[in-house]
Amino acid sequence: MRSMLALFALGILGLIVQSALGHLLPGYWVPDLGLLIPVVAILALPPAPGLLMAAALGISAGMFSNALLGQYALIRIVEFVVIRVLNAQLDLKRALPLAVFAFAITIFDAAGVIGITWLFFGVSPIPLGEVGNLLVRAGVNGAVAPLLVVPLCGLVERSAERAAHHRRDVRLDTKRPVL
Amino acid sequence: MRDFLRRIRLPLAFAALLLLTTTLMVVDRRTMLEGGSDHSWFSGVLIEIATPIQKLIRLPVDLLGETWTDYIALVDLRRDNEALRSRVAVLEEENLQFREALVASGNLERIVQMRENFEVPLLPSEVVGQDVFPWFRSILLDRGRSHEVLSGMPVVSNHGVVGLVTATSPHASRAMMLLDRQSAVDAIVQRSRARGIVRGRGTGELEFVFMVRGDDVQPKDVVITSGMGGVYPKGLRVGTIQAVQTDEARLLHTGSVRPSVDFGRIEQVFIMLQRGPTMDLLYSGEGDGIGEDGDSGEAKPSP
Repeated sequence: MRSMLALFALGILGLIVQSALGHLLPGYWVPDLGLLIPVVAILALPPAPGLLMAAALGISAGMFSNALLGQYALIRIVEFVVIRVLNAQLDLKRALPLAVFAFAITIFDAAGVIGITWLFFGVSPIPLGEVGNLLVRAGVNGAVAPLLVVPLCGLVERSAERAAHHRRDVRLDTKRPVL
Repeated sequence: MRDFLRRIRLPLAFAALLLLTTTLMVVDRRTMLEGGSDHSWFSGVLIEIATPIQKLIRLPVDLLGETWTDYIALVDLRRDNEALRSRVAVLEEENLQFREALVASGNLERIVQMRENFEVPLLPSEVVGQDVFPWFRSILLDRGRSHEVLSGMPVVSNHGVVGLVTATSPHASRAMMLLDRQSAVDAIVQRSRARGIVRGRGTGELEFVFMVRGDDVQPKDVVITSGMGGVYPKGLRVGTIQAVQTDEARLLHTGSVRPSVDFGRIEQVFIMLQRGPTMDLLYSGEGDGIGEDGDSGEAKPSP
C-alpha cells in the first residue's frame, strides 16, 4: 500500500515536472513521464493494483492537459493489457527490449489520443506534418525508459518484498500451544 | 464464492474502469458543449499543488536567464536604446497622424468603440507550465478565481492574442492557445478588411480560412481579431499572412499565418478581466472552477 501511494505521488510529481519542462524545452523533447510512470506501475505492481494505478495516473494526466477527462485513463487501461501480454513474452525490465517497447508504446499512445480526439471532436490533435516530432518524442522516451523504468521497478518490487517480509515476521502462529 | 470473486476481480476492475473512463469522457464532452462545469475538486487540488512546484522548477532557469538579460546581454543596450528612442519618435508621429485622420474623417464613434475595447482591466500572469501532451496546446497560468479570472476570458501578450482561459482553480488557470487545433478566432485582414477565421493547426502556424474568393489578401498582411465572434475584442493582433494558397476550383481560400506571439517562448501574459458577450452567454449562471463546478466551454469547442 505504501509503495502504491509513493508511486502515485511520484506519478503526480512526474506530471508536474513534465508540464514545467514543456515550458523550457519543445514539448516533444520532454520525456513523457505521464506515460513511463504508469508503465512502472503496470510492470512492478500486481495486476489489479497496477491496473488501478495506471488508470488513476491516466485520469491525473487528463487534468494537466486540454484533452478529455478520462481519455488518458482509457488509453492506460488498454496499454495495461498490451504491457502485460508483452511482458509475458519479453522481459521488459531489460534495457534494450524496454527501450524498443517505450518507443512503440509512445506511438501507440499518440494513436490512442488521435483516435479518441477524432471520435469526439472529428479532428486529430496531431497534424500529418508533426509525425517527425512524434518520432522524436518516441525516441526520447525510448532513451529515457531504461534509465527510469528499470530502477523504479526495482525499488517498487524491493519495497513490496520488504513489506511482505515484515508481514511474515509479525504473523502469529495460532496453532502453537501457548503453554 | 470468495474464490470466484477473487478470480474475476481483475476482469471486473478492467470492465468497471473501461466504463468509468468512457462515462467520464462522454460527460466531459457534453459539459463542453453545454459550456458548463467540468472537473472535480481533485483536479483543482492537483493544479493548486502543481503551480508552486512548477514555479520552483523554473526558478533556476529563470535566474540564469535574468542574469543573462540583466548583465551579460546589456552590452548593446546603449545602441538599442538610441534606436528605440528614434523608433518611438517615429511611431508617436505616426500615431498622431492616425488620430488626426480618424478625427478628421468624423469617425469619432469608432474611437469611442476602440477605447471601450481596450479599456478592459488586464491582469498580468506568469506561464508556469505547458500541456503534458505537446500537441494539445494549452498553458498553465498562476492566476485563478481569487484574482477574478473566469473561464472564457481572453489571454493576450504585448505581441497579440495568446488564447482563452478554459479552466480555473482558486490560484491557477489553464488557457488554450491559438495554436490548438480546436481553437478558432474570427479575424480580419487589417489592410483589406477581408474576413475569415483563424484556426490552430496544432503546429507553430495558424490557418486563415473561409476567405471569400476575390478578397484581397497578400503575404505580410497583418491579421487582427474582428470582434465578431464575441470572444475577443476587436483589433487584437493575431499574426501575419505568410502565404496564400489559391485553388480556382474552390470557393474559399486558405492562408497560412505566422502568429504574432512567439508561443515557444511565452513567459508572461495578460488576462483580460472581461469576457466577450458570447463567452458571457455561454458561461452565465454556471460555476467556473476546476475545483468546484467547473468551466471549459469555448475551451474545447466542437470543431
